[in-house]
Amino acid sequence: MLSSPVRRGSPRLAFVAGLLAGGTLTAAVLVVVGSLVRAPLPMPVRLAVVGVALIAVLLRRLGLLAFRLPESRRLVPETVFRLGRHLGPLQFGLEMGTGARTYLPSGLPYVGAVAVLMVAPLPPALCAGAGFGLGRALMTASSLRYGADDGWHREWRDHARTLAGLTGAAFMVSLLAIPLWSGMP
Amino acid sequence: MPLTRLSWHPVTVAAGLVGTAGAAAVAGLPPALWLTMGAAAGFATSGST
Repeated sequence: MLSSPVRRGSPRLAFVAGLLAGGTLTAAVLVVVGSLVRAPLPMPVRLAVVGVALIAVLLRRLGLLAFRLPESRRLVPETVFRLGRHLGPLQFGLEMGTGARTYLPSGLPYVGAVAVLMVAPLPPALCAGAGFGLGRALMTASSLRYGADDGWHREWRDHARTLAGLTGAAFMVSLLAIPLWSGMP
Repeated sequence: MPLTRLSWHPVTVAAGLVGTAGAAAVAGLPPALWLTMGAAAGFATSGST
């Protein structure tokens, strides 16, 4: 659960800035690594790799495939708030925004990472990274506006299947439309 | 449920993402598509915090 320091005023802005910075940082690293990985592969093969990743994650979600995705099995320690009123939330957001420093209970970020790795030029990759940070910030913003109690998170748990379907649909519509509008074969 | 709470309900937010993705797909805006793809992935991890 997010602590109160990231829920109000300018510390919250620092937290969101950290989320955006973390997401774009991860995306930039993926593009650098991807430029080496994708170099010998023609575009159809790279798209096929993204498709395989998407199908594998879908099958895993449906319980038809069982495998563990790599994740940092830890929570961001609350000790980061010792860094100060703004630096603490910034660090907290940065760690959450990278997607590599705490739990990732959904398979979608992995497919997104493969897509960035295999096909994204730098500007679109940064859009995807910033989007990841914004998506995580949406949780903070909406839970805050929903109410001060734990209601939003309770609703999340109660509607987990619906939410998995909706976020999966938003993800897939975007992902599948990208090659159509980007001139990829 | 009050309208304010309903507006910020996780299902409402997720449905908004679906709408945004659909609009970006119809409009043919690759940067918006990448952004929405990332946002959907980020919001999907909301259970982790």
